[in-house]
Amino acid sequence: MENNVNQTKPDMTMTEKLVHFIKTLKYEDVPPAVIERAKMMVMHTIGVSLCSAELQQMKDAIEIAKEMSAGNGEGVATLWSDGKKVSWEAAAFLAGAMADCLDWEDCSATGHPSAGVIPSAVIGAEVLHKSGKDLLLAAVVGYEITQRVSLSGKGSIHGYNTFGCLAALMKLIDPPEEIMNQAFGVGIACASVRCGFHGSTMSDSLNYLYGHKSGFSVSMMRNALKGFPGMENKFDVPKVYFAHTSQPNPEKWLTHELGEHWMMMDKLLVKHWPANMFVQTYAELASRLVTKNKFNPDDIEEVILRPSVKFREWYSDWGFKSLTHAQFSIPYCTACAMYHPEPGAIWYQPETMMDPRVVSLMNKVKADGYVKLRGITVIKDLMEGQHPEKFMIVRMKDGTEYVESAFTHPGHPSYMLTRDEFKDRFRLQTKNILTPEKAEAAIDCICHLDEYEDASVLPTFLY
Amino acid sequence: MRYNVNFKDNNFLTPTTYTQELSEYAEKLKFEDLPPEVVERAKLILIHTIGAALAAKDTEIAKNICEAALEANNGEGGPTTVWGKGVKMSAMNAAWVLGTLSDTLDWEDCSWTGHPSAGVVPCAWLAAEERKKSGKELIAGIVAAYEVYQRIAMAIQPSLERWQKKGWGLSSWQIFACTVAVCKLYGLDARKINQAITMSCEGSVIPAGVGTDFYHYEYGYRARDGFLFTKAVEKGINNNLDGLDDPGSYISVMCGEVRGVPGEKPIIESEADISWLTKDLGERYLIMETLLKHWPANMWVQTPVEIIADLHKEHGFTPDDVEEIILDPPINNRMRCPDDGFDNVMMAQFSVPYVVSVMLHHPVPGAHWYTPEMIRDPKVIEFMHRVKGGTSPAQLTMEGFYKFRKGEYPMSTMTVKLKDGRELVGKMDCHPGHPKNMMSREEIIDRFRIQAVSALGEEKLERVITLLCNIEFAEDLSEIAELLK
Repeated sequence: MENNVNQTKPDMTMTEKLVHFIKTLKYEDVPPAVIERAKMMVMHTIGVSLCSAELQQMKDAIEIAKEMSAGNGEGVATLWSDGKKVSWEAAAFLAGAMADCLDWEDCSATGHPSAGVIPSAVIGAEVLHKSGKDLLLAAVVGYEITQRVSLSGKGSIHGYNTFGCLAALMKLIDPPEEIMNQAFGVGIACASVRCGFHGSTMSDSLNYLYGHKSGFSVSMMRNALKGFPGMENKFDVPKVYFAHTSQPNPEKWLTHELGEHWMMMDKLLVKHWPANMFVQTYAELASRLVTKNKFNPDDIEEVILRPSVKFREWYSDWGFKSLTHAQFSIPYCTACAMYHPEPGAIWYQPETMMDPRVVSLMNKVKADGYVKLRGITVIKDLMEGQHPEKFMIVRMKDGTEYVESAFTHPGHPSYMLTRDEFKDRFRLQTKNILTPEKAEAAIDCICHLDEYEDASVLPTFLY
Repeated sequence: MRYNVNFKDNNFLTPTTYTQELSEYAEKLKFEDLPPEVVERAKLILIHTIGAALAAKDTEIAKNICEAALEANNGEGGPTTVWGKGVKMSAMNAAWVLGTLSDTLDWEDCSWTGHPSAGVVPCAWLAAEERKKSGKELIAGIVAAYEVYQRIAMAIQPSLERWQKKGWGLSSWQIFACTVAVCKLYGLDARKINQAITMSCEGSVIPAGVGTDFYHYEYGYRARDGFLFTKAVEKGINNNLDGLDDPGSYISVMCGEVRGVPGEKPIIESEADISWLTKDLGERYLIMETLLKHWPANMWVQTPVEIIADLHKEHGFTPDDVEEIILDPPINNRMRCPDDGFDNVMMAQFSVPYVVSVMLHHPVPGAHWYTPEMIRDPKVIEFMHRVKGGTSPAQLTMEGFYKFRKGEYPMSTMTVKLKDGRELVGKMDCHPGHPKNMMSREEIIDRFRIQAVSALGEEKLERVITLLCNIEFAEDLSEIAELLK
């Protein structure tokens, strides 16, 4: 395999190895299962993005994107869900923000790479009229680079996406390796600090920050294409990136098994539910219980979680205003999944987040023990399937008891959704945004992306 | 207000209220409350920064950034004016261009912590133009942004050891200058300003300082970020408050060290001086302690060039008359003299030998000092090798900053040895533009004429000067912004 890292020159820097991988990876080098996963990630990420257009925050983001693209040109890229043709940056900004808004896209040990990689690959292919194979290859490259950069240094979860976006754009634009190398230097100059208030203050700002990374990575590439002598090998310069990301031995991960180990296959979880990753299995259990047993959630006396997850136990007497706060609450999402077992933007509309019935049920959800957390390895343990079996016990007011249990949820790397399940999720996600005909056309296009000479047709199905 | 899950033992409240205090200060600050000298300084900074940006309008960097911004903007069109480029764009894209142009020639300001004017001035002006605000509101926005920016930046300044190990991130904390300027002109309340500051914390970049000409573009990126974050907050986000009050987050990440063993909760030991965040707020105007650059060059190059310019004016020697020029003490990392010239503008701006040489060959400063041809011009490059460091230990730039923050400046001695045997000696610490030796309004206007004449032409130049000098009487900035086209 030409791109194999072992075939690079021994004196190459780490940055040069990354760049060489991006430059030389060919469609034929990627195993079919990886290509299939890339297609499904395109479908799933677009689906959750379109679904978010029902929420006010994304209506606001659409307005901002249109402001960003204020000129009188014809536009080169499509605003998802809206259809207006705008600038590349504006479309990528909106798609990045949308992808994370419902917290429904993916999760890796280091954030949400799909919110950067997929907008970059899909919109980049649209602007540049690249083939479906080029699009898929860009997505694969984007995931593999994001994972390695994020594992090799501690930045912010949205900040890692800069590198996945840049990698996908580099693959599509295909400049010389020297320019790609300098583009990573530009990305490092714009790399986010390891700081976020999303989890600590339960803020929705993160959605915009994902959009910021997707949109402005396009700008970084525009600038980098002009050439910046002296910006090469910035992953290797001691005073620069890794001095600020506090991880010893970055070389362990940065070029780790490039082209041999596809991290998007085993380090990327697909979310089945619009909720934080630690909430997924509980939402799954709640939905299964109410669907299977057809009880009325109003008749529930209490819901016992055995065990629960301590830092996702958020309650409120009146509900939530912040999407994030609700998305991070196992009690809220459990209640929501029982009243609305078909997930969608409705989970996070203000009237649902403050629905007295949902709020009442949320406060009946109780923990019986907690998952043992081993410090900062909690996410790694979850990804590796080391979290215990979780039980949900529903006790009705008449004394009836229903029990369901699971180790994990569909979408976990060890329990991946099938293509048909991805399609069903996409139909559900887009049912209020696309006509059934357009949804089927989008599904068909994504499933056959490798046959398209010009993938710019895909966005025509996305509004 | 101060909800943060990390403070369970404090009823989920952050332990301090610095972010809110800064935000309330910014919200409440009014033009009418400002001392006249502060208003005057804000106006001088405004004039000087617009001049520095206009002077850069025909550079390669300006061409590249304007081309990129037009594509990002979907062609021409939008509510705000790109100075000197004859086009209108969205405020976000115009800020991307003007933030970059303001720093392109390294000719704007220098505060204790960076170049706030490259963010404050374009962002405040563009927000005022976009929202049709008055000149008084513009001045209040400039002052509010300087005061808030400077205090946050001072709180997170690195120690000398950290500086040497990890670099200095002046274009990183620049984000606060941009965000606060836009917030103030948009008329956001303290809660939203607090959210915007917090979003700026999480959206800020690593304080690495990567160098090369992308450094100039970084100011444009921060200016555009400031607009985007403020627009997001204005539309409405939930929570996201008090970013400066969580000691384990932004402040510690910016100037702390993470210690501990893998698998255990890390301990962050911070060097931050958080007392700076609200120090003398409303009583002491740090904008008054900002330096304005007399020459298009790095701040540590200013005094040596000024001395040579004075000696040149007084004694009338030509470059051919010079045997050698000695700077004592030499300045660390500012004496670069590559044999073939420079491959990027920034390194030339940071070289005392180069700037001295180019000034002697072309005494009127401007963008022509940094064209690709000039930074490799054989005559200029040959001469710069005659500029050498003296025998004293090199002056460290960080030590220079320590003096600057005390209201002083390092003393430089320049000795010009002429071929006829004469030795001319000049000494100076605070060059014109240093807070202790601030240029008068007339001097700033003279500089503005040099900076802006090619962009505006003689007739429009004088109209613009009159308008800028009387900016507090302008009712609607959007009406006069057209003149800067």
